[in-house]
Amino acid sequence: MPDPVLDIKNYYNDFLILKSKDQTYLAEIGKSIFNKKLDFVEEVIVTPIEICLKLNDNFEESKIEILQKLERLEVTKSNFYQLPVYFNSHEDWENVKSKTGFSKKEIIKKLVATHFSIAMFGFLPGFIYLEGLDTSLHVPRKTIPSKYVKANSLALGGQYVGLYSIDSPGGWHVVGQIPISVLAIPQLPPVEMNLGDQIKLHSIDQTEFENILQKQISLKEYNSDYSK
Amino acid sequence: MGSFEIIKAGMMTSIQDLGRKGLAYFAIPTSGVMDNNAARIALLILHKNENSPLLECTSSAPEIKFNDKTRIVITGADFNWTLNNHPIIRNSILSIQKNDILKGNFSKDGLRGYIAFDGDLEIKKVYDSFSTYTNAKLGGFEGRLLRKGDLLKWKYTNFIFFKNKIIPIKKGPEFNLLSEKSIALLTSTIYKIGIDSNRMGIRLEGKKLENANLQLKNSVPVLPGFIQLPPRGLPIIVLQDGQTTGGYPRIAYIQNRYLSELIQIPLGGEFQFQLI
Repeated sequence: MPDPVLDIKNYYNDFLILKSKDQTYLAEIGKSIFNKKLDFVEEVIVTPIEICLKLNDNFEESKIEILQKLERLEVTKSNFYQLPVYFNSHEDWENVKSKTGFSKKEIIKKLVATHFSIAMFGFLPGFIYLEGLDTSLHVPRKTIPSKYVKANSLALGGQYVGLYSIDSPGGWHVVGQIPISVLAIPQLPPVEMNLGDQIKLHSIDQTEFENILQKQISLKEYNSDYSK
Repeated sequence: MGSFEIIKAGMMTSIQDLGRKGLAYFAIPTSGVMDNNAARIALLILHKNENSPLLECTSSAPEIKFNDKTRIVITGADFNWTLNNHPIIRNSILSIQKNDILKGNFSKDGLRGYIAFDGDLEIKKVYDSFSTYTNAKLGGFEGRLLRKGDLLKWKYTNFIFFKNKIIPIKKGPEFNLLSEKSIALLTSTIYKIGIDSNRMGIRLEGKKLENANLQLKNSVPVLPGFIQLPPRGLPIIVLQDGQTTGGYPRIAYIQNRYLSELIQIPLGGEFQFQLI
């Protein structure tokens, strides 16, 4: 089957907007462009419906062909990660329970049963948007954002589950905390997980949370241990 | 349309840009400005494209009479420049009025100087460059050094006739969501830089655009210079520390060189957008 057409619009050689009806294809192309480090591309921003490429002086119209000829990555090298979550008693739970009509237990059950995938990075450095959330758990974001959300909080916002990478104000409803740091500045890549990676949440209790935290276990270590 | 006249040519005054590239294969030299840095600085101070043509002076300065108002920047060696016999400073924008006379002497602390203009000189590119290459009589002004009596014309580009500071904008990906009235408001309103602006973004104060209640279904990429329209109808300009994605329509954007101009406006300062 031929690859779906990539719709490319050039904004005066300042940036390109790439669209495709096939969301999976778009994410793969985005990943591929980022990995190729094309000389005329200064920044690659991938979102579910659009890729934006910031251009530099090396760009000329004919380079669009290079993008159109990009093939899907030979093998979709998406990884699977188990993410340990301590579903603590954050104050936002009240809101989530009343908006969804479910008990905390029911919500956790739904969350850990879901096969999530990473839809995009955005909002904050390394902030992860997980897609795949059951529609019954779509809770609109707060109209007035909280002044402080702790790094590595797991939170619900609309159709996504978000993973706070740094301390920040934010409007998502916090439901838990992971004992592993998402963002690893100054390492490259700054985030271990990548677009398209498959994610499952694993409920842990406070003791395990503190144990992982204390041992400073990385996501990689946690997952290799887990798979044993 | 504006123009200036060469009263005295100076020793070796010519039009140059960053050069004619890729033809050394045919033994055509690059030409272009001798002091790349000084030339670029002159153009950048005017927020012009670095590939714009400008005057290069060597050793002894030309005398120039301006027939129309403009803005210029002089960089490079010190030629003891004067404007209507008053000394001027280099490396900053000089406002030129009709009939002003720019004069210089012999260069000191260097050999070459550059004069950049706010307008676009009415000369043609040869092989994608404005640079004068006298040996083959190509490029620049009739392929030669400037002489007494030459009249050089320019087209205005940088909006110096507006009463307010002008920031040029281009249509953004969601420009089409704007009504005719909103487009008119966006380009006619005198906006103020909001006091709650910071390194992430500038909030504008002024007239609200109509039908701003158009949240996008999905987050989309944003870059510094993008102008977003949140529901309250007052545009936000994303800056260097801004988010990389957002859910507001990206109605327009400011190109990098004009963004430099915008971010120099202090809090509370006023300006107007111009769609280019």
